[in-house]
Amino acid sequence: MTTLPFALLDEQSKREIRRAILKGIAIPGYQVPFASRELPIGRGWGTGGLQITLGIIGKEDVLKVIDQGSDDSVNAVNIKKLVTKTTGVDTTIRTQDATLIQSRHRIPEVPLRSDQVMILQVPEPEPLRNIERSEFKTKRLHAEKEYSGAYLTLFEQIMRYNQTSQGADYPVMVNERYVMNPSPIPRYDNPRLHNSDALILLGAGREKKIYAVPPYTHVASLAFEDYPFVVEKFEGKACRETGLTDVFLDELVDEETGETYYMCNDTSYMYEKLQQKVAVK
Amino acid sequence: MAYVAVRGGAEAIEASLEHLQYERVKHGVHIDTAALEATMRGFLDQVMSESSLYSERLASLAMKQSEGNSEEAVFLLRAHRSTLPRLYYSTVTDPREMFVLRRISSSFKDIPGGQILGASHDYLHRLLDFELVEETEADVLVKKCQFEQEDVPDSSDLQLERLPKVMDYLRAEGLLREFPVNDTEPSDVTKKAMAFPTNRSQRLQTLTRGQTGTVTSLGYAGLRGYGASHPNVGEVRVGWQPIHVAVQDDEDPYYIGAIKLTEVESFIPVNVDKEQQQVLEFDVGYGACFGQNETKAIAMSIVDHALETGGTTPIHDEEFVLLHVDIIESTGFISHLKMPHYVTFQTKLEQMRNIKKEGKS
Amino acid sequence: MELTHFTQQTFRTLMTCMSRPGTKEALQKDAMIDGIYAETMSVLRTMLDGEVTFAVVGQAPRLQQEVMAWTGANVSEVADADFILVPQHTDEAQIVEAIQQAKIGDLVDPQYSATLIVEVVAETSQQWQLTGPGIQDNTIIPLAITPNIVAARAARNKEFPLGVDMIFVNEHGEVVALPRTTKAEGVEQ
Repeated sequence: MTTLPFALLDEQSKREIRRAILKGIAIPGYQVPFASRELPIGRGWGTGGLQITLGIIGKEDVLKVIDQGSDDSVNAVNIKKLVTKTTGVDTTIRTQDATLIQSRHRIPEVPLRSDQVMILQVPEPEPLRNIERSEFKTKRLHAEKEYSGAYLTLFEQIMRYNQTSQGADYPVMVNERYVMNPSPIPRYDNPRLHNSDALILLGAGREKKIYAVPPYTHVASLAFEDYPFVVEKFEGKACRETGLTDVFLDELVDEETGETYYMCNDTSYMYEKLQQKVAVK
Repeated sequence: MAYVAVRGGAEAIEASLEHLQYERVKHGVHIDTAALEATMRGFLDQVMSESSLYSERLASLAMKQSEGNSEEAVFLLRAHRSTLPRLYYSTVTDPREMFVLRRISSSFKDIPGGQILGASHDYLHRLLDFELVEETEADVLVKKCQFEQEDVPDSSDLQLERLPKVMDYLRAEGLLREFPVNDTEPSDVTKKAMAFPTNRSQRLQTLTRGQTGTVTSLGYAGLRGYGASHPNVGEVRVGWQPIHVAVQDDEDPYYIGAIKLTEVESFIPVNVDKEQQQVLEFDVGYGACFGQNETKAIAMSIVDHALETGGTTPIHDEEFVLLHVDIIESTGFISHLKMPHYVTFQTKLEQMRNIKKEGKS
Repeated sequence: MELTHFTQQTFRTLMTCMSRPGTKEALQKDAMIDGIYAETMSVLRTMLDGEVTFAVVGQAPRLQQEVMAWTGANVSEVADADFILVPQHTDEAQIVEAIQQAKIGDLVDPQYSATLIVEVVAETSQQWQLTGPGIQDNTIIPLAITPNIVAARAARNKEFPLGVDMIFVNEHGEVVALPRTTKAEGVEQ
């Protein structure tokens, strides 16, 4: 009674998650319902991603967990701690060394490989929820491939602002069939979903959905011919520590001078670059 | 540095956890889980009901560990539940076989089998009893002895094990709207996700697991004007409900114990078309939950009926009700707002600046 | 090996195969029952339990009983089964019929579809070119299934997202998967 099962969940729960994952892979971008177990961390704190991780992880895996680009943020640490406590697997902050990467709101800067699995935590899996609150109806809109509402939302933004105002979690069309929320990754990361070498799994624990983007799958951010999809730009800005410009940057304020400065959001990538710099010197 | 410090998150968490553990012990006072189990009946009943896990022992441990925070206690029990294999389903259990501790009907002055008040707060003046501040263990033992030495009759005509139901009386008279018997295997929402429209077992299961306060509020809304009409409590019964499991279909089920259960049947008058004539009949709203949670069970019966019959107000909307009554889901998502959101915020910020700079004015 | 680790590793193999159609991976053995490869049994033990149904193609009541006893899964007709087991040496006609009967889900819930677990022989000259999600450009694999089976599969998968997913296991314990998204075309020798 006091010993926890390997990877916390009982075998039945894992089996259900695994079946949902295989269905998700077979139907790219489609949200497969699953029962979703309660976990020792909060619903809304990554339990969908965590259930996927616990459902697939084995003794030989090396786990990396990031939250908002950081391996050391409180929630990433907490999730990592729970997984290692119940599995004993090794963890890493180096993207290249990980076999499983669970993440909230970012895809790492280092390109993923085919022997890695990317697991994204999803707060709201339904791309049509803001135009249709009923799950019964959104499921039917997906069934009919009726996505004019999703385009209309973007169109209205363009009419109002001359550009879309959807920030993160910018919807994508997967395999030319399903419109999908990519989880609140910045638009900057959206192109990484397209033709990815790695399998990408997405889990929404509270909303009880698992979905997937298999490798080498066509993923396009929704856009119009005259208003193409654009990612965040950091023109004229660079990471204060590394000088990198081709990365997603965090905006920070120097407490003493009050000046705004920028740092690489993917902290493990930043450390690696810094170490390389030191090594060169 | 902030809680998303580039490095140092792990140390900060450790320190916070240590601080939390210190809070529990800082007064140097110890309480036994056995003492909680023996004295905190109301709290334990509530968390067992919201947890869908019937164990007073584990509930009192959860209470101790969470320092009496019901949200956290339910959380602990639900998470524990996820680690347990579910080996058997119980056979159908009929509350007519309940060993009744309390049973009242507000619909009839006298009911077959009689009104049995049992133990209830209903008739209590809610005045703080300052004597309890000074109460010692010896006092408790003395009181216990006094109660137990009171004269109790050797026998009684009360038949506590097979009390008839108030509902059966109305049914015999043809005043209940008739429905065909539905014997389909109930769904288990914890094993298979609900799809909309839901079936009744999914609705009842979700409501009985629902947060007590939320279910109560929804029932109250239904009663106040956001629902059909004022129901009559046909019967509230609280007691020990026997549970059996059948290991194999062809053998007699085994008795595995009894759980304390509250069951409510509410009578709600409805218009029915009968042979081209409008008549009034009663519908039954159903509520049942682990432990003695009478308010929750009555509220559940109101919401159950509202969902069954449909209507235009929120308590008739199954997605509105069923997707928002669960304590783990609501508290989880509300509390997730405390997590860092600076990537999403940064992307919004970038856009707002762009719109100000380049967009139409 | 403990069952929990065994099923985890088997699942990861299946996940790799399903997400990279045509990729051949090796399964491990655990329990054996007469009538199917030990590695097929590994797949069944990993995927099946009391929450799902299965059917065995061909008259095989004993095999059905044993799978049920090992996994706890419930037996159903082919048309209702979540998993359909096709043992080695099943007639082509029976396989085609099973594919035609297998459930393909509906547009609202395409996940309510069958997964076929098909035993094949390793030795074959039959080559298939595969395209679709999970495959970079295209890939050509040997797989001992007949053009009629492939045609039946294509007909069932015509209206994506509806369709059946297939897992093939050979006597060496090698596994290949073809989800409904994969298009297979015969390669001229």
